[in-house]
Amino acid sequence: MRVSLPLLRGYRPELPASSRAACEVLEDVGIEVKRHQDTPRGEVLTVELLANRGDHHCYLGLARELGGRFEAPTPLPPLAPLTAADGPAPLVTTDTCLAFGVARVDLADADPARLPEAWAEALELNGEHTGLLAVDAGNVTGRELGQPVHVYDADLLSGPLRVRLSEEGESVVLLDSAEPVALPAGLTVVADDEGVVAVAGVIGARRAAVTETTRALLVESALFDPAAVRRAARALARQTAAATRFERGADPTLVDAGAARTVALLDAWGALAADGPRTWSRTVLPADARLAPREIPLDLDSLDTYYAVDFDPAAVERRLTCLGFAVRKADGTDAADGGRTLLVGVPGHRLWDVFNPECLYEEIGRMWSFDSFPAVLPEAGGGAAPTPRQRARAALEQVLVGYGFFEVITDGFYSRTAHERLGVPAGSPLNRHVELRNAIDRNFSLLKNNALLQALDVADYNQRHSLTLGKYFEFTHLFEAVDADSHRELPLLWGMLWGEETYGSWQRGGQGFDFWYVKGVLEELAHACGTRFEFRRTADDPSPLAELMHPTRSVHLYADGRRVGLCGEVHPSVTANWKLRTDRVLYFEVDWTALLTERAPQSAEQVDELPEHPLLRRDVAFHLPAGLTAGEVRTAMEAVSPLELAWVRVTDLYESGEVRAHTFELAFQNDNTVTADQVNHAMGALTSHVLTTFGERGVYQR
Amino acid sequence: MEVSELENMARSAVEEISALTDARELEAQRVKWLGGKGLVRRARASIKEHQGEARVAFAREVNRIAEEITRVVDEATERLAAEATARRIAEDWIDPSLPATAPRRGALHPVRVVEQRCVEIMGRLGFEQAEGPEVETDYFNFDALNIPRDHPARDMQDTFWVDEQRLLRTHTTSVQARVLAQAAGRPVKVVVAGRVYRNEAVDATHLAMFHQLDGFWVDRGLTFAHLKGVAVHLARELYGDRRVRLKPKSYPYTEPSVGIDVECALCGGAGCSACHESGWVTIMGAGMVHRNVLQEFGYDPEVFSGFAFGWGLSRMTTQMYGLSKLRPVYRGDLRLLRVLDGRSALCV
Repeated sequence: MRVSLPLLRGYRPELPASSRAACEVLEDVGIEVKRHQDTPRGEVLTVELLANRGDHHCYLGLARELGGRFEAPTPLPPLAPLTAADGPAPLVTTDTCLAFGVARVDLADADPARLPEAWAEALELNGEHTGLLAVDAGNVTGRELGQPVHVYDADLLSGPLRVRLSEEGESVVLLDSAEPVALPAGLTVVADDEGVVAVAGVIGARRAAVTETTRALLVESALFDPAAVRRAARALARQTAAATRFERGADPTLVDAGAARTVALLDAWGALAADGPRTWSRTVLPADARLAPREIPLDLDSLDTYYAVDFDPAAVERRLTCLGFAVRKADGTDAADGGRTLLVGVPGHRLWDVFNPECLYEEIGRMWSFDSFPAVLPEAGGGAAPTPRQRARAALEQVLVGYGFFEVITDGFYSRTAHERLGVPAGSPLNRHVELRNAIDRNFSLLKNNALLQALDVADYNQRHSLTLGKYFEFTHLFEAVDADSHRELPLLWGMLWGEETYGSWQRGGQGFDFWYVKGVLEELAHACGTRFEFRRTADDPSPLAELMHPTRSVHLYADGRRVGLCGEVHPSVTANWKLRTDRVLYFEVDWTALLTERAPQSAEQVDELPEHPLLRRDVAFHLPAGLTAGEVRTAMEAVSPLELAWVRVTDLYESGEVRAHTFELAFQNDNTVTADQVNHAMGALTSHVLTTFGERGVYQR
Repeated sequence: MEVSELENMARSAVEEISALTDARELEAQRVKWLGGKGLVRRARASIKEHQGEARVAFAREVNRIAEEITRVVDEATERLAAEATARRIAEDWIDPSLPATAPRRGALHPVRVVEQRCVEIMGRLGFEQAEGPEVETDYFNFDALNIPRDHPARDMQDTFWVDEQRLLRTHTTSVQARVLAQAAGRPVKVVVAGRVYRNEAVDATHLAMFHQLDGFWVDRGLTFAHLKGVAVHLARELYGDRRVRLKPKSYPYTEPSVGIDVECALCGGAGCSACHESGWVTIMGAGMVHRNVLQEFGYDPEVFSGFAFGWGLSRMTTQMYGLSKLRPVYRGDLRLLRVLDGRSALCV
C-alpha cells in the first residue's frame, strides 16, 4: 500500500516531524516502510502491512495503531445522518453475507463538485482514482475508514438488490472487462432482477456502474465472509482493494458508518442534490457467532513474566484503549489480586484476529516496542549430540570432500522433455513420476525419480564452460510413484566423475577415472560408516537404472544383503545424448541411510595378535579372458591352498591386445617353520589348480 | 723401514689426500694408507726390525704418522661430504611456482556450510536436528500450523500441488508439526534444515526450490523474553556483535511474531543500497508458538508454551558469501563452488 505521509499526519499529528523518525515509529508498531519517496506532491511511503491486519489498510487504521503508541485516541470522521428508507431492505439469501445495507442519495445536476486534491493524489497512489466523484467517494471511504463501499447507478438497477450465490452458467461483464466473464457457481454475488450487478466484496459489473450521467446513487456497505471473498477473488483472478480488505475480515461496526461517511463526503464536496433522499436500509441478518462481542482476561502478572518487565497497569489500559479495546478491571479482582486482571473487550476491527491473551501480549509488545524488552537466555542444559544421520552424513561428506568432490544442489524436479533425454526404455518404472499438477513452469512438472539426469546436466553445464574435470555429489531425495495416490520419498547420495585429474604427478599428464576409482571411493564411504559394500554385476542383477549404465562396467551395491545403490560407467548411448566431451562418465548412487549404524556394538571386537614373522610372498601371473574375473580365480586359489593364506590380491594388470595379464600376489602365513620348498610347492599346486580349473576358458600362465 | 721413509710416506699421504675431490679416490687412498695391507700396517710390521731405544722411537713415529693420516682422511671425508651435499642442493633447485601435485580437496556446498554452522550453534543450545519429507500433506504444511483452507497466508506461499492432499512443502515448519505430532505432549527442542519449494517464476533472486532452517522449543514456562534471548544469541553467533532489533511481523503459526534484524555491516547502520537504505538487514522470523498449534497436538497452552524461529538458509548464504544472486549457487557451477570454497564466509 502506498501512503501519503502528509495525509497520514493529518490523522496522526503526533508523528515525528522527521520523516526518518516517523518511519521508525511506523516500523516499530508493525507497519514496515519498504520505500520512502519525496515527490513534488509530498512524501510517499510504500508500506508492507501485517498479513493478519486488514484494519491497517486505511489511514484511520494506521493512525489508530500509532495512537496506541502515542496514547492518543482516533475518532471516526464526520458521518452523514441518514434516515430509514421506506420499503423492504435488500434480500440476503446466503450466509456468506454477514451484513448488508444500502444508502440512497441523488447527485446534483450541476457539476461544481471536485475531489479534494489531497485525496485525488492519495487515491492515485494505489490506482484508485477514477475521476467519477461518486466512485472516488466510495474509494476514499475505503481508504480512509477501511470499510469498502460500492456505488451503483440506481436508475440502472431493475428491482431490489439481492445477495445470493451465483448459479451455474451465470456470467457478468465486470467493471474491468469488455467481455462477459463466466462465474463459477457458488460465488457470493449481488444481483437485481436482471442478473448479477457485483461479485460481492470483489468487483462490480458494468451494467449498473456509475457514470458521468448518474444521478440516482445507491451506496452499498456490507460485510462478507472472508473465505467467500477470497474464493471469489481467486476464481476471478482479481485482487481488488475491497477483496484485500474483506479477506482479512472487515469491521462489522463500520457497515453503517461506511455508507454514512460516503454520503458525508459527497455532501461536503457539494456533490449531492439538496432535495434528494438520504436514506439507509440495512437487512436484518442472523447473528454470526464470529462477530459476537467478547472479552479476554489479561493477567498483568503473566504479562510481566512474559516480557520480563513490570508494566504500569494504567499505561497498559491507556494504550489498549487507544487501540480501540474496551478495558475494565475484572469483577471482584480488586480485593483478591489487587486488580491485576483486566477484562479487555475486543473492538469490531479486531474481531477477526484477537482471541486470546497472547493476542493482547502482542498488542502490548508492539505498543511498547519489542526492542524495549530484555533478552533472557533460558537454561539450555547440555548441547545436543549429533543424531546418527548427522554423524553418517558428516562422515560421508568428509570422505567425498577428501577425494576432491564438490557438493552441488539440483532441483527436486525436471521437465518431461528433459527426462526424455535419458532415453529410458518403454515400460521402465523410470517412466512413472509423481507429477505436479499446477507447476507454473513446465521445467517443474515432474518430481525426479532419478538423479542421473541432473548429474549429467551438471556435467554438460561445466563442460560447456571448458572444465576438464568434474567430481561432484549431492544428498537429495527421489520421488517414486507407487500409484495415483501414493509415493515413496527416497533419500539418496549420488556422485559423478569425469575428465582427468593430475594429482600425483602433473609432469606425467592427467589421469582419467575408471570403475575401480569409484569402487575405492565407495569402499571408503562404507568404511566411514562402519560397514562394507558387496559389488554385484548389474548384468546379472538388473534394475531400472542399471539399464542406463554400461552393461559390463557397472555393479549394484549391497549392504547387509540389501541392494542399496549402484556404481559404474554411464551407458555410452546415454552420455551421447548430452554430447559430453569426455569419453567416460562415472556415476554412483546409494541410499546412504542404509549405511547408518543404528546400534553400537555391545563390546569391542577382540583384535588378533599381529604375526610375529613376516608373511611369505610370491607372485604369479595369469592371462584371464574377458568374462572371467580375478575374484573367481582368487576364490579358487584360496579354496585349495595347502598353506594358510593371509591374502591373495591383484597387484598389476597388463593389457595389450588380447592379453589381460593379472599379477596375483599371494601372502602365506609364516610361523617360522614354513620352508621355501613348502612355499614353492604350494605355488605350484595353486598354479596348477588355476590352469586346470580355468584352462578351458582360456587362462594361461604368463 | 727407516724413520726418514716414514716421514716421506706421511708427507706424500697428506699431500695426496688433501688434493682429492672424489669420494671413491678417497676410499682408495684410505685403503692404500690405512687398510689391512696398507703402508701404515707395513710400517708397524717393521717395528720389530729395530732394537732398544730406536725401536721405541720408531714405534712412536709410526703411531704419529698413522694418527696424522687418519686425521687427514677424516677431514677429507668431511670435506667431500660437504661438497657433495652442496652440489646436490644446487642440483635440487626447483620451481615452487609450479602447481601442487597432492590431490585437491573438494568442498561442501556453501548452503550446506552455512547450515552446518547454524546447526552447530543451535546444537550447543541443545537443539536436536530433525528431518521430514519434502512431499508433504496439506495438513502438516498448512492446517496443523493454523493456516486453514482459504487463509490468505496460503497465497503468500505459492504451492506446488501433487493432488488434493499432497504438496511440496513450502516451509520447513511442516517438520515442526510432524515433530509435535510425534512428541505426545512432551517438551521438544528441535532444529530442521532442508529444501522447500515455491511455485513461482525463477529469476536471479527467486528460485522454485531453496533452503530454509527452522528451530523451535516447546516446554513449560517459556516466555517471549526467552525467545528474544535465544534469537539475539543466534544473531550474534551468526553475524557477530552487532546491534539487533525486533520488529512486528505476522505468521499464522506464531503469536506474537517478530522479525529479527541486524545492523547492516556494510554501512554500519547508516543506510546503503545493500540494506535498501534502512541500515538493517532482516535475518530471521520468529515468534511464540500459536496456541492453536499447541492445542492441535495436545499441548495445554496454559501449561506449555514455546517459540519458533527460522530463516532462509539460501538467503543467509548469499549474505554471508557476498553473493548478489541466489541462482548461480544452485547451478552446479564447479568454478563458482571452488571460488567460494577459497574464501571464508563473511557476514553482511
